[in-house]
Amino acid sequence: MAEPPPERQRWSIIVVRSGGFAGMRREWRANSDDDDRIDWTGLVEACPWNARSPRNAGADQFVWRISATGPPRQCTATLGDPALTGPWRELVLTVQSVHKQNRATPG
Amino acid sequence: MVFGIVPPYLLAHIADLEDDRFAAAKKGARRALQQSPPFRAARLTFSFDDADNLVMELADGPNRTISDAEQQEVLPGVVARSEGEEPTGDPSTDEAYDGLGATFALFSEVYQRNSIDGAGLPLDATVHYGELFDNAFWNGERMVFGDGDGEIFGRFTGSLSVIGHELAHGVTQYTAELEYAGQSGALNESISDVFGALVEQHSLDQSVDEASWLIGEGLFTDEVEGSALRSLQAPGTAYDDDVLGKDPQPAHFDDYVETEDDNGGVHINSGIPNRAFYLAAEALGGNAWERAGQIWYDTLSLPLEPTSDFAAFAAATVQAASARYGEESEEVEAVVAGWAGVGVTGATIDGRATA
Repeated sequence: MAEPPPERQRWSIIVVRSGGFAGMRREWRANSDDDDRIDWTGLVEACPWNARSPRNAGADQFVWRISATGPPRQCTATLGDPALTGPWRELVLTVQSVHKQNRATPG
Repeated sequence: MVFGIVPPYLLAHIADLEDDRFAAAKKGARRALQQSPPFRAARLTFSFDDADNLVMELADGPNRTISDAEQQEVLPGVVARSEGEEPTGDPSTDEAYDGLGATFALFSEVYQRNSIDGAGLPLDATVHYGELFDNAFWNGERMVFGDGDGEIFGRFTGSLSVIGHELAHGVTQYTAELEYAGQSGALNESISDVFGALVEQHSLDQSVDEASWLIGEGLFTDEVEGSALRSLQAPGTAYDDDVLGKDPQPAHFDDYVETEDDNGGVHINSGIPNRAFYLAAEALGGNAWERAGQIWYDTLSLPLEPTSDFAAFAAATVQAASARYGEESEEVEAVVAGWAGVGVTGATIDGRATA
């Protein structure tokens, strides 16, 4: 039996990458409305927001801060670069790609 | 005069020499051969003594392995060049190999430290990490270099100061163990910038006045308005670009940046201790690696807390300078003035009280 489609929720997602050798901060943003063909709720819910990510070992690795706001829900997580895998990576790559498209489109 | 790296078969030959004139070389060769596994490389020096005898001396040598991640984010990758092998023709591999050699040489020849751990730890690096990867890092065990995106950054092995910076993180890990967050994290970063700059200066035989004091010179593509990523001489002035913005480093403790990013701004606030080092080196003149560098190196071996703040580290540098050069020395004066110049003061620093 197919489950009913999830209730449509609007998300606003911000990805901040800091650190790295250069210490330069970069930020990418995306909203559900930017591309409603994407299953934003599925992308957000696939991420283990409550799991503690181990600190980066060594030095100069990127640090990722990801926040997803879909009222009344608010999720944030800070991850080291080696932890940016699986659903986290998928979410970040999607946000970066949508962000890039938005900036490429005038207006 | 350094003639390069001694292969194991030559060490074995030297160890078996019956000629008394080579007694020291024989002893050194035997010592090098006994350090196994893994086999440690050695540096062979030839000279003539007063009686015109040929003298061979063995010193510590690096044991480098450069691997190629082939654009994957998987470590370590495939071995591309091992110790003693000829250049591969791949710039990243050969720059990493030579850069680790230059860094090893500074620590070995100037500070008598045998590699990262002081006991000949192999120097492992990976190049061509990831796709368009805009970073170089130390993962606790190896140095990793990306190729850059080609638009903002070129390959990260392109600057010797970057290679020295990464290896120095290893040295800090085995000595002061400064926690990578907040002020202790900024100190950890600064130590890597200081020794990264010193590796370049030592390699080019540049005095304080001749040196650029830049970190990551040549990393930016021609599209970027900027000479480098950081400047120890003038933090905050390394780049100023339409897209990247301006170098955000403070040069004074009054401008310390509080932020959640980057483990509390470790790559930003490092500008403060960086300039303190520059000021001390400038006051002393000559080659920065000799006195200022020696004091910073000695400081790493003092019993610092992992969470030491700027003031605690500054006090330790004064202690290190006093121990080596005397309490009333110009070296102590230069170090105290360096910290005062960036607004890091206190009774344990300028009062020269014991911490």
